[in-house]
Amino acid sequence: MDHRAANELLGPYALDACDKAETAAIEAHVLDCVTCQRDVAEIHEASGWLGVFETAIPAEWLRAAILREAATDDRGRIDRRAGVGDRRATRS
Amino acid sequence: LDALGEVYDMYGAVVYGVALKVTGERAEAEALTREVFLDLWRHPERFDPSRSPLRPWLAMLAHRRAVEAVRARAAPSRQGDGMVASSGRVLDLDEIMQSIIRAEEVRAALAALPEDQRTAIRLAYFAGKTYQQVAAALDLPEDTVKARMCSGLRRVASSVHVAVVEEER
Repeated sequence: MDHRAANELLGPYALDACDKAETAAIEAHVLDCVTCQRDVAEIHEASGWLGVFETAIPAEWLRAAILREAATDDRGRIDRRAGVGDRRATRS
Repeated sequence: LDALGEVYDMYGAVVYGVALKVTGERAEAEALTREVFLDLWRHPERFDPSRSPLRPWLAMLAHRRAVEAVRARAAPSRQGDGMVASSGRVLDLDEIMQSIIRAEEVRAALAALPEDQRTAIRLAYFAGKTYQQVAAALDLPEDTVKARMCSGLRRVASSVHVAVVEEER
């Protein structure tokens, strides 16, 4: 995907409004494009904030179920100051 | 593990709320919430606090998974309603206050957008539609919809960005 096509799609991309193939093509371009990286950083966070007032209280059992499952593996540990993140990894 | 419980107490309602809003299905939203938090537990390095605060980042993760789930079942999403309530059972009052302020700023920024931009963004974000589906629903060229989403998000970003950087760093 060329720069122009990718850059035009960053709005839909930030809203998760692209299909899988387009999303993959955009992400491949963004990895190598400083301009697009800057644009994505700016608008992706904005789209994250769109969701933050959509709160709903989950069922009580869910918390215990998640903690129980987390306890069965020791693969990770929450550390808010975790090292340098990898932008590519955030898409999963 | 206490840390995971704490993070869940603070952000569980946001993650679940976004998932519920997009999928409209309680069971699906619960499954997605579980996935998001276990993912954070197993791959904490994916979160980079220098790029984004945790709350919108988790909302983004929840949104993407919810949209994928909705598309996978290839059915139109339904709006979650009725059980949407404001978040409770939370610990960090300061974070809550900031988040409420920020959410209000975003709400205000959305409300201040030109109607056409707001509509395009809402259809995509809250109904989980692709931009092609939004274009079809509004009977507009895809390029127009793409442009409206880009400029609308840029406006929202610019109206909250300065405050975010100042307060959360």
